[in-house]
Amino acid sequence: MKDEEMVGLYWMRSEDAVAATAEKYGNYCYSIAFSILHNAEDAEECVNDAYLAAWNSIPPHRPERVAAFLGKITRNVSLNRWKQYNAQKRGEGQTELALSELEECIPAKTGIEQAVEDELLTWSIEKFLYSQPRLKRNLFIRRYWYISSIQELADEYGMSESKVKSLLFRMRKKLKHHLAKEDIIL
Amino acid sequence: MKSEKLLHAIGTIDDGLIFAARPAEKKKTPRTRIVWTAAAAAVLALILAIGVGAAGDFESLENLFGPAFPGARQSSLDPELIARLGAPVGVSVTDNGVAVTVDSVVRDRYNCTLVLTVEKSDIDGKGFLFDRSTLKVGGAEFTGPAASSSDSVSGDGKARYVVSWMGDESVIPGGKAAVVLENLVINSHGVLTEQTVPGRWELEFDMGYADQSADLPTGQTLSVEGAEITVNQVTISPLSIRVISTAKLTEADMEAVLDHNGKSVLRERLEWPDIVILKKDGTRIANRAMRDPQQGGDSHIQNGWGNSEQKGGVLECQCSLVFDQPVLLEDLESVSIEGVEIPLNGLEAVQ
Repeated sequence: MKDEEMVGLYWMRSEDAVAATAEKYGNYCYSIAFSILHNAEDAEECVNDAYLAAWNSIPPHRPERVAAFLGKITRNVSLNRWKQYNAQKRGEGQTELALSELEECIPAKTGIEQAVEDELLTWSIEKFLYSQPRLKRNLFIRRYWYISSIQELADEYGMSESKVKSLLFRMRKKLKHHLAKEDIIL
Repeated sequence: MKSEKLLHAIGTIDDGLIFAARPAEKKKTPRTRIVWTAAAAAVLALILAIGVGAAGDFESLENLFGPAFPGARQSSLDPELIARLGAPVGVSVTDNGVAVTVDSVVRDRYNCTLVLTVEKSDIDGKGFLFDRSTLKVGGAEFTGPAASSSDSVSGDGKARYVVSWMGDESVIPGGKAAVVLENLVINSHGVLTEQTVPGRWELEFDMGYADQSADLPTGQTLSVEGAEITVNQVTISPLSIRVISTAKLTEADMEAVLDHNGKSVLRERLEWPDIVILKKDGTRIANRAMRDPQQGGDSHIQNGWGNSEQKGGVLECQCSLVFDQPVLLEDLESVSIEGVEIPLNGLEAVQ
């Protein structure tokens, strides 16, 4: 089923909308949730929560890229669940690692300090990503948006794990410099 | 937690970026035959060198380097020079109203660059790239690519596309080859949204053109951060230089001094030795600025990587640099590694 047709089902408030979504994007959403939570039951719950969130937001939204739309919802729901578990000293794995890696990207405060709007930060990150060669950009997004493991990335891109780590390390350094250059303070 | 704020901000990036990076169902290919690239810190070096700060400087950035930056831009590789060095091809294919022609190819032992023409009536003034680009040659597949750039300022519905694949340890073989381009992605100037023209363009051509690599004399002993290393291979071509060296060092030696990220300072230094290439016209190609952007200056390097492998008590290091412009070997004045000059013997046979 094409995305346009699927979105149409939501707008018609058809009960088939969620079933169609699950059939086309169920695995995709599940893989995002599982990468963050590493727990099958929790991942299933978050995917179901994502379907509910999609039902509640379409309309008024009419996403052009349903995969990215659902992926963002699933990611947010899963990260919120992960935070709850982390607060209770549960949860493990890639999300914690990804967060600790991203700490390196946060520049030290400079002489100019200013509050940062979320949209400005996102825009600056987009600018940085668009300026990078596509392979490195995609690796970065796979690691820090999809929360894919180093091993998964190494297998999929046919590299050694050390090369993946090296690439990501250099990207994080460059992002840090980029944010500092733009006077972005977190 | 600040990193959570960053993670959240990354979560809201443009859908096109997320879509382009989606996990794909890929065929497993032998790891040694997959092409990849390491970080091109030249981007940052350029940013620092020209003092770019905010959005108002986008125009100058777009004109300096092409890969993946929205908007119409000049190619970073001189297509006329590529055509002079390379072999003409002239193969075309059309899909979904877009015609793609391979104009010329130039390669060395590890890298390959193609110049293509993309014809589409409304492509003028827009930056673009292909969602997937694969080079197939000798039974191997090279994904990536390392870099690509587009030039659509001619106003005649034809745009130039230069795409390069940068090798890993493996050698790019000769023989029959094919390039497969999928899904044309068009950015409008200054707008971070994309239009995708679905399609698949597969063009076959002969990669039998002679490899233009030359091996320089080796065996030199260098000192890097107090460690003694031996140069085992220096391969240079109009596209790139690759240096392979060894050092009698163990893992324990590597871990003696670590940076704040837990990475070996010595390993990073050995994977990225100072390489300087001087041309007769005074142009200086040097990778130092890429490692330390604060150094400033133009490295004249489009892309580069360094890695190492511990083999018992010996560390083998490789460093590969791809130039931002092809270099005629007859124009070389000198090549030095960590200040030690490498003789240019043997280049006459290649020219």
